[in-house]
Amino acid sequence: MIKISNLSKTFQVPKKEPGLKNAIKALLKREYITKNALNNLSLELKEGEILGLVGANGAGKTTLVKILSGIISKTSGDVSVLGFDPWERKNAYRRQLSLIMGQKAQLWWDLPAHDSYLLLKEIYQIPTKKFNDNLKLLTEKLFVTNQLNIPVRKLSLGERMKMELVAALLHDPKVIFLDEPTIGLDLLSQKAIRSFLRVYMKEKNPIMILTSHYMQDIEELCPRLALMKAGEMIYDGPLNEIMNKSGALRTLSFDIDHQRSGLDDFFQKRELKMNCSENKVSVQIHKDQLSQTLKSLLNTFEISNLSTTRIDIDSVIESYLSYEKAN
Amino acid sequence: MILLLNHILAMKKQINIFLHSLGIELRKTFMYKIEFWVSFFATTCIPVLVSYLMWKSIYAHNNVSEMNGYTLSELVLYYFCIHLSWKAIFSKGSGYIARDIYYGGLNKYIVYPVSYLNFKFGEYIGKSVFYFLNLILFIIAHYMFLGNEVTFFNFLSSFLLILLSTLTFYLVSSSIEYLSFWVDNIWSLAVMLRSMVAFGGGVLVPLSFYPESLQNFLHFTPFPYLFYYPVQIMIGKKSPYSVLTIASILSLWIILSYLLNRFVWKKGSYKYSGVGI
Repeated sequence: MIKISNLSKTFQVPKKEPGLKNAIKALLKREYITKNALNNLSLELKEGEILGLVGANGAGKTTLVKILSGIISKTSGDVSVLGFDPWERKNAYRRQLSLIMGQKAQLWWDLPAHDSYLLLKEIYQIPTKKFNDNLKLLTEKLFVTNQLNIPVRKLSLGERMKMELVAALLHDPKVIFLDEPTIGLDLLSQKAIRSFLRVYMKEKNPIMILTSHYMQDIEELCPRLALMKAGEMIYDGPLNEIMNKSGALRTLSFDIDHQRSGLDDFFQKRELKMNCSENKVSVQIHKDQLSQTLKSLLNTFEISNLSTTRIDIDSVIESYLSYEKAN
Repeated sequence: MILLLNHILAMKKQINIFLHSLGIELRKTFMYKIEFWVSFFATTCIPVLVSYLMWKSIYAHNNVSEMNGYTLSELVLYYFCIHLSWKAIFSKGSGYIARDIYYGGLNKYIVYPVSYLNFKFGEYIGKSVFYFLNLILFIIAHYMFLGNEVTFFNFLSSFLLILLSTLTFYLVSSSIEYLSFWVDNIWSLAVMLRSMVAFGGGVLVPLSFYPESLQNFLHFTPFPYLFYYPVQIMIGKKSPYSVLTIASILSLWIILSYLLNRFVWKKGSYKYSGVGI
């Protein structure tokens, strides 16, 4: 179980003014800015729960994950994970923990993944039988059995991420922090990792906190969502609820060469705000409203290059905040 | 009894992890064939060859067969041994921990249930093994071509001392590397330490070439004990019975540098912001 109450974290960041004169000045006297990374944050997670942690860059998601994994200390508040204070960095806690950082390789770059796994076997003191069984199971499910003896640096990004996942799950962790596990991957690899994680969660039932900028990751894996902004938790609840309020928006884009004057009226009537630059038009629209509007649009105007896309997480946050303000 | 058993088990685990991280470093060293051989010749053969040619011409120019108690052949052997011992002790160079702190590579070690200090020491020794192997090869080659014999007893006692020196230097250098928790760039400090050790440890010239007052002063620093005296024992210039005295002095430095290391780590960890994720 994870229990966080009134957690705050502040950083002292050196202030660096531009220019040579200021650089010389800073040699004698440096000024610091206090940055509130987390502010009175409270959260509870039970065994088997997956929390999707989202927020714009600098919202404090990674700081929270770092505190929970014992990498950095808290400034104030209480944190307990599986009954341990992460900052104490007790081995009994670290043996049950796993942190996967999408942008940071944990495997030894020059060696085949298998060598790193053997080292992890010693680090986590995994019995040989359990190690062999887990390795077989994980590599088969992620389709990377044939890549085990290839140096990590020679693997594709998708294969590397899968190898990282194997490394992180070999010791059957009870708490998993996944930081951007699908970042930079192609659609097929993203899908493979998502379906693997879904099955893994069902079978092993650990607590998982997932941070991602891909809405698809959150939608497919996390029934519960926490939304962070400027170090504060502005929403913590079912994903469905927030998606109904803001995530069900789609961006409708198209090109138009003629009849542009009628477009304003068309969207105003439907209470939609249109963005127009040269002949390119984009509109944010609720998915339930989409087919009807599209039908009328095609009947009324001559348009080309029509496309609809899901809005990204930053837009969901923005849209949620404007919804909260309006209500 | 149970407490003792737990302690033994914990130690066994630490030793296992140390050996595995050592193995990983060795595998990395042997991974790239070309780099291995280039490093073998560039970092060991060339500097020693340059020293040999330089001293050969100095001896010939002065028309002497001995300088400050060294014949040319002994001086060449001295350079072999001191150069490779220095490489072994300074195996990972500068920045091997500072980079982890600066770029956030430390994160993964914090999450692992292991001691970072122990893990990195395994890697450190893993890198040193390459130079130890070179040292053995050169001593054999030197014996075959120039005839200077290094007795097994001398070699063994000095080898054990060099292992202690490696631990001492690792603890001191890692304490300095930990300063990266506070300052972004510790490169200049690391270079300063490296230069001091090279100067005070006789890497440039044997300490007997220095003025006597300077030699006396250096005895009060840890530098000559790191590899100058061990090498003196190896080449037969110092009695192997001084091993115990040198080992005791090194042990004292190990205790002091370990306490310093733990202190700096504890204080520095609070400053760590785990950049990079």
